[in-house]
Amino acid sequence: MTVTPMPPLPDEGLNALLAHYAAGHLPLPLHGLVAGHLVLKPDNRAFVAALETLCAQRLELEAPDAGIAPAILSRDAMLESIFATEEASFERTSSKVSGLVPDPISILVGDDLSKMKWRSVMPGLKEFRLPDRGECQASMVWVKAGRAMPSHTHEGTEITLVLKGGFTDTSGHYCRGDLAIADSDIDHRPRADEGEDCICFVVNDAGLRLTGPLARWIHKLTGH
Amino acid sequence: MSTHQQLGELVLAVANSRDRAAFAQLFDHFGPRLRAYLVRLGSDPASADEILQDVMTTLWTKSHLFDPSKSSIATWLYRIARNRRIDTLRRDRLDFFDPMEAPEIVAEDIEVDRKIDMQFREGRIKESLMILPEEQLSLIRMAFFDDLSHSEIAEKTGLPLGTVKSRIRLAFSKLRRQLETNGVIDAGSEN
Repeated sequence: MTVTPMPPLPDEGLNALLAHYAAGHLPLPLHGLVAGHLVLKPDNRAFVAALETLCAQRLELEAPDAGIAPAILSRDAMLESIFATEEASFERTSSKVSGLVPDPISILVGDDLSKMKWRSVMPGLKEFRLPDRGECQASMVWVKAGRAMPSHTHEGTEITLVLKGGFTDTSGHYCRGDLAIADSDIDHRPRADEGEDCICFVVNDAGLRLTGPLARWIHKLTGH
Repeated sequence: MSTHQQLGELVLAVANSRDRAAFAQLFDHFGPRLRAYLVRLGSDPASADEILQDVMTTLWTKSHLFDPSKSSIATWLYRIARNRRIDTLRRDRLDFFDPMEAPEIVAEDIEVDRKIDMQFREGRIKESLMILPEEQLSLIRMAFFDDLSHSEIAEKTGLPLGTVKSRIRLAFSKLRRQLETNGVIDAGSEN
């Protein structure tokens, strides 16, 4: 069967990232980053909810046979201890959509900028780096209005969620709630918008496998 | 096998009257399935049990937070289990906040019919998924649920690598289009 080659779509890397999120494959900081994006910008929620529905349907169809789902030996003990659990106070936890740092990220970095351990990288650029987790490295980045970040490439895929202000690089302009995905090939020099400081949550994941033109590094590694 | 509706009634019984027998039925249905998912993603049996207990405790204590118009109980529990597994590294007990629980911000000018449609999300979502041919669905499952690389999928299915890539791409854009057509949208944003 012949297949007409399709031009790469700009959202191919995004689709892959969202699908890995839905399936539960991302490390915590990146899972939090994608969740934060979905909280701030509802545009991709339906797509992700559809993929989550697929995951849940699969659970339903596959588990009962083929010994994939062994009986839970401690069933009765588990039930007993669950029934003994105090009912939680029944207040719905509301999301801090209006706060600067959305809930899924504030559990990692807190929600008070003044309490974060900022380190000055260069004039106009501060960083608060979380402890590394394997190949995954996360940080809050604060760029002064109008400043450009130093030109840089990265080893893995770098994913940025804008929390405040906006920035522009060769791939486009990004505002609060937007996700930017950059692979190792992109030598980019993001510049913060004039008039407002730009604060982002950035995760660099050397182990992340996205498809398409945004993840050429993988193709280089695997040779196709 | 329990139907979607029967499961929903069991959850109601748990939420409204703390019905232990109903809860045990839900536990027996979902427990082994969620545990299988946790183990498949790499949890060892002991931590899988621990996470499962957390998830089922959430169902026992917070079943009133489950909104059947937004998602099925299977999808709701799946999200909690997924988030909990990823979040086990953190010591404190603050729940990971799932974005699907975020309030939907509905634009003022959206017409009433559209608002009502949005109430029955999961039905609309399932309808949208049905337009994807089984082959494309299975490619998506291999690529994202089983986390196979495109070349591994090509080897497994006998399809050329380029075909694997283009069919996954096609499936995703078809799904996005269909969700839009079926009105499964989250209108507006905070601004």
